[in-house]
Amino acid sequence: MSRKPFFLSNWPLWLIGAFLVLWWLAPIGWRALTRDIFAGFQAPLWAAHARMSDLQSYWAMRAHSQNELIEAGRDLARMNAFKENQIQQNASLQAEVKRLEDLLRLPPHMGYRYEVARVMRRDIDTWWQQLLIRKGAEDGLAPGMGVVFEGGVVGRVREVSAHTAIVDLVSSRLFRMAANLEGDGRPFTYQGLHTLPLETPQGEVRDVPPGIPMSTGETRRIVTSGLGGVFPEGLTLGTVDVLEHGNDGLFLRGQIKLDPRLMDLQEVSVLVPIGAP
Amino acid sequence: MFIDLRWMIFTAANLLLWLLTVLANGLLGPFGFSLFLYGLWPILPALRLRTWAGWASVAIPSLLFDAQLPVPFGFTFTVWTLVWMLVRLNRKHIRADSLPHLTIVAQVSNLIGFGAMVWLCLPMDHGYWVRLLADLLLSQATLLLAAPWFFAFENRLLGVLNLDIELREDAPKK
Repeated sequence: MSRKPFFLSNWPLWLIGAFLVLWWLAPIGWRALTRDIFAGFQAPLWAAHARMSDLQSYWAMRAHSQNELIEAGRDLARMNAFKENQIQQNASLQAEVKRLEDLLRLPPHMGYRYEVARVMRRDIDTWWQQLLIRKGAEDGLAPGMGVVFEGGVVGRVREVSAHTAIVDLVSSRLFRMAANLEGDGRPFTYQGLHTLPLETPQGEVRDVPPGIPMSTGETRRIVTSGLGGVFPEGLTLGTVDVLEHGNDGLFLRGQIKLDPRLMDLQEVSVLVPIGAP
Repeated sequence: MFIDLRWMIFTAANLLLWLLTVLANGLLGPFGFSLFLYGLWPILPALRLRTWAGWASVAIPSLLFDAQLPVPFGFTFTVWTLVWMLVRLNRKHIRADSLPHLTIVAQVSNLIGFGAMVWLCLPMDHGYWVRLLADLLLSQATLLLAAPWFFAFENRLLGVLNLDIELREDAPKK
């Protein structure tokens, strides 16, 4: 029996190869549509997995002893009293801001609503650092919104579907924003860096204007500048120990230590501007 | 027309591997390490299944994988399809019943996938290369342990469901 030629014996592979070529030649809109279908299809599966994890945590917590629960309740009561005090102070400060705005006829300060969301999945690997959270367009989220936690900035919403959203972490190379040193209003650029093995997550600042007073051994806090309107000013990004001259010899640059809790977040808050649709 | 429904088993196994890798990376994240084990995806589907069924069990997980990442949609789908084609074209030289043999093929497949990601994300800082090397070494070392387990798991799954493990392209069509 004669052997079939290579082309004929492997015709399905040639067909698949042709499909791949067509795939990349197809209009971007078609690929975007396919992407949405695949993203929408898997979202409920990740949500179900996250809920199962929550249930597992719940049953694990049920195993705690009564003494542990009493201690936790006591700590929580102290914390609540402290927070109540802060809420009262906050209310009086807001009233003062409003009075000054009226007095000086300033436009109203941009406010945010905090949309708390559970983290469903963490993709923290060599190439990207992102979170999948359990809130989406139905909860008023939109791409570009800021995400924070108790330690400061978490990142920015990159994509939103009906019930989930993807957040680029502040430690991701894809994350960039304007920042400044605490107590100094001059803005510069912040960008995420790769986390080295066994080290805390890090970022870098560039284009820092020279002449910023910083003594040796001093650690300064890097905060959001408020430019761009995604984050209010003064939120912590990280800390810097050393600022050195960059390649251009004019501006300064330095490495930023980020909060290590970023890699293990369970819950975050999305900053939804008040008045956003 | 014969439709090889075993592709669903292999697709489910590939999705399970993805889930386990994501969970492992979530735990390793605070230590600055991550795993890349997706080189296991195309091996057994290329060796055990018919062409279209094998391709489906690689294409579906890789498209799902692509859909939530900041890469051009279809990038890893293309990479794993090409690796799957490579394995399929060389299936006569690969001993599908030998776990050590399959593990070596998985190592090569994983290296190709990892290399493709490196190529896609090239312009990076110096820390990138340190992290890259650490992750590559850890992934390949983990693969030495995970590959035999994963292939045995896939075979066991077929066995439990009473499906033929050895059915190949040249099997009689019913």
